[in-house]
Amino acid sequence: MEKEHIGELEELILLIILMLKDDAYGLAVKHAIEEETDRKVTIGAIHGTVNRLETKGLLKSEMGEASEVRGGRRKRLFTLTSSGMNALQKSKDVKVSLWQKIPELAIQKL
Amino acid sequence: MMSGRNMKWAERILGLLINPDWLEELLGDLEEYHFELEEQPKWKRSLLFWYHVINCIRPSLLKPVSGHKKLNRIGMLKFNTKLALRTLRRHPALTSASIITLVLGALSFQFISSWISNELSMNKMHHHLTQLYITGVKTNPEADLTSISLQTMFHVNYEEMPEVIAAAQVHVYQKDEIKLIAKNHEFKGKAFIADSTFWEMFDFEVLAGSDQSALTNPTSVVIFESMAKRMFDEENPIGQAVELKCDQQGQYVVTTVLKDMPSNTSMDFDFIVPRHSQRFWRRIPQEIVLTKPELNIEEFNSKIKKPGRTNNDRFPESELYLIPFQDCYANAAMNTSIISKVSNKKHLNTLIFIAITIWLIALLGFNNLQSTLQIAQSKNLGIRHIIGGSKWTLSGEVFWSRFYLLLIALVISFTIYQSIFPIITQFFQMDVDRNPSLEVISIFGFLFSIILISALLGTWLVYQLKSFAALNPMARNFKTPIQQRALTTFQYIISIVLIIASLIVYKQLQYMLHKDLGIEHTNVISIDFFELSPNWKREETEKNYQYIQNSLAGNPSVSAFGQGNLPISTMTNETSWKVAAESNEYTTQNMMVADPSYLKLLGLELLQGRFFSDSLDEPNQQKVVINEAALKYWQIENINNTKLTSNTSGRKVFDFQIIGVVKDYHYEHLAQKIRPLILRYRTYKDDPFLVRFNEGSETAGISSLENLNNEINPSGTFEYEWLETRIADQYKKEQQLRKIYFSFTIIALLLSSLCLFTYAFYETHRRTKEIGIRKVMGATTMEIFTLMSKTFLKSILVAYFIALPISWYFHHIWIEQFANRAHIGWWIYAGAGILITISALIATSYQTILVAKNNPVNSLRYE
Repeated sequence: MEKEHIGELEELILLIILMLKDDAYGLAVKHAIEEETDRKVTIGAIHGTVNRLETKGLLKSEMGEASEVRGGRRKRLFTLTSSGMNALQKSKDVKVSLWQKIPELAIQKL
Repeated sequence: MMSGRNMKWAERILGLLINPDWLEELLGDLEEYHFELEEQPKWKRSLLFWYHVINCIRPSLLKPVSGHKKLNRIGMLKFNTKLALRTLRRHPALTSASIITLVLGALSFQFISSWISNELSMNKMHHHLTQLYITGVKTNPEADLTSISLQTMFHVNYEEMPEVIAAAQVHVYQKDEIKLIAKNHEFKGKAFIADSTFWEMFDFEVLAGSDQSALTNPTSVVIFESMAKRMFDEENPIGQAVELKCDQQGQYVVTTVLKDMPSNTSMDFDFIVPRHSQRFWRRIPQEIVLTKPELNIEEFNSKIKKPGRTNNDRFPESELYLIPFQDCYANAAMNTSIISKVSNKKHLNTLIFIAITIWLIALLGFNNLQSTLQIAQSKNLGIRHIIGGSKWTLSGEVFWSRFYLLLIALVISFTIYQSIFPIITQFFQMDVDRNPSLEVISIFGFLFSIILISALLGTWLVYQLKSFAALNPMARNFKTPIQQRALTTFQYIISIVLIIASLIVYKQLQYMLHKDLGIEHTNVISIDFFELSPNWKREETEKNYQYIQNSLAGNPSVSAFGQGNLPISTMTNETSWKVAAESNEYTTQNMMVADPSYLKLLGLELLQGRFFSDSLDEPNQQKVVINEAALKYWQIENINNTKLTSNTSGRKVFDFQIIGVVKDYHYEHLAQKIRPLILRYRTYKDDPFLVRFNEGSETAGISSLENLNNEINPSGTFEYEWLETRIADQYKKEQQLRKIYFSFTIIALLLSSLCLFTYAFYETHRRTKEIGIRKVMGATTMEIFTLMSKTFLKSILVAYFIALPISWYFHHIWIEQFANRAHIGWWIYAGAGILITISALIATSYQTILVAKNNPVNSLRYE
């Protein structure tokens, strides 16, 4: 149970990786987050989180092709595992069910 | 490519730190990012790039330790922390004893070392310190140095001397000799009346007002912060009008406020007045000289030494000197009122000795405790060694657990230090400032040195450990570990020496405080009705003098009164004397002032001749009374045909008639044997009065004197001094020493007992089974108790016999400085032995009794 719980940045990264499909590597994830959410993240933060997610088994990765802009280094491409999908789904369900439990009036009164 | 250099460095740094599994894609991302930043200006590009690089160095991306796939240094840190804290928690007695040892040690050490460093940094705040000199004169080659201005007394012209940058004459007025009046309130304070050049010599910090014109303006007065606060409270002191009153009077304006001087300066005064603001000041002019830095003082002194007859015909034999300012403090090279505290080398050495002792005791105690811990853990260690823990990792643990102790002790001792600072400094009368950053460093240094040594020792123990032996119960169960015994013994040696030392200091002090001085010293006070008043007030003084005489004579509480010095005088006049008409040399002797009432007032005993009397003598005649010691010193057989000569009043030499001899009494510190003393009847009408009250009517007497004082000085404050207080004040230093010894003896004893207690705790636990078996075999509780106590007392007995000669040696060195010594009997040594045995028994008996009374069934249940 403990391992399936995911944090906010983790959830965001999982979603972005899903969105990016075949080209989900560190820097691309960083750019996507910055575009979609308007928040700044560092490369180190992305890699740290992605590593953690991989240890948790929510992600898997393989090395991609090398390119010249990368100084001849390969990228690591990430894809979600099925437990990663589950974790996302679960997180979404929790939020949706919470939203549904709040009557509309209560929100408007805020 | 542009990114070349940045990238190369990033690769190098990250390559060292980052897990190689993730290095490639990380570097790839970074390089790509760098490439994307091409549009940015160069500085911004590098900045952003490096921000990201540094951000990559985070725990989860770090390299793992060798031999592991995932565990990196940060992870190891977590493990080690957990392990160390677990060990500490499992042995609460040892852990708390260790921490108490460290904290007590650190606190005592820190208080002493702050004191020492304060002494050592004395006056260093003044940049010109090494170029500053105070002028001194010997009126003849035998005489002591007197601090006096060479410009005024010997017409020395410093302007002709290229070595001298500036000279400042200073008159020092003590607290009760001068006051400032602001808004009809009088404020007393110590004052320097100084030339404007005084300003250049010292580094004073100006808080408000001008500094250039401060002493050149003849109406300005410069005051220190605390005096300003006393006078004007919250108001702005600058520009306030004040009236100065001493032997001169004048109107002044406060132009400058100075920051109070820190405690590590040997000058201490409250305000400065420009010297040229009045034509004449009655206090002796002294002089401070600022020279060029390259001056060779010996050469210079030999140049100015002989002023010759032309410049001063009153003291033709005089020798002139410049005495280094710092020497007046550090070596008490010359007595001068410019400097208000003098360091004492012996005192400083005592402090250093105690600091080292405390360090040693804490070190021994801590090591003792930690090796007890290690022995308690030896089984654990043995097992871990067998299942593959390398000695390297095992000793790593030693370091880690010590490291946490260090942290805990550091935090605790620093917090306690900050909170008890005011209490302790007041108790020991230490004049020390707070300096938190330095304190942390010094406490850390103390703890670190102890912990490092103990960690090294612990590592050594780990490497000595034979895993097989550790697991063999037979090998370790029947022998007390040798190093514990040695450490305990050593600790107790120090404690015993300290106990004996403080008992001896105590004995000697009691002896000095209660010794019969040869005078009746109770119920006598000295009181000054006359403040320094301008010369033109002679008549008023005369009138007041008569009034005081009459009212004292009519006062029922007063049994006797007179004028003169208190017999325990800090200011005996040293003057040169010899026997008249003989070829003996002048020597410096003590002289005090007395009037005819002195004999009765102080209960002196007359041996020959007569004392001064109102009917036969008048003040200032050439007549003296001497003491027995003087009689012996000059081998005078008949006082009626012998006269004394003094050359102190200059070229004119007077013969003095000896009218009487008094029995010796102690008028100085008891470290001195009674030296020759000459009494002269030379009182002035405005001298302080000495009053003896009738037994039991002291309070009534004091209050009637207060009324009298209010009549004469309506605006003045009533101040008086008991003779007994003066006597006790002489022994302040010894009292302080007693306090220091006493406190640190208690700390040493406490630390030693603490160690012995934990040692006993583990020793009894270790031997539970042995004792169980002994009891089954028929040993009684008493026998077990004696057996166990013997183990502990043996090391203390050894310590005692080693400590005896050491303390005997110190005893003789210390007591030698006193001419009047207390009798230190053998019982002091015996008493120390008994004390230490009792404290050891208290420390161990709880454990031993517990184990002796234990039912063997409990201890042997599992066999």
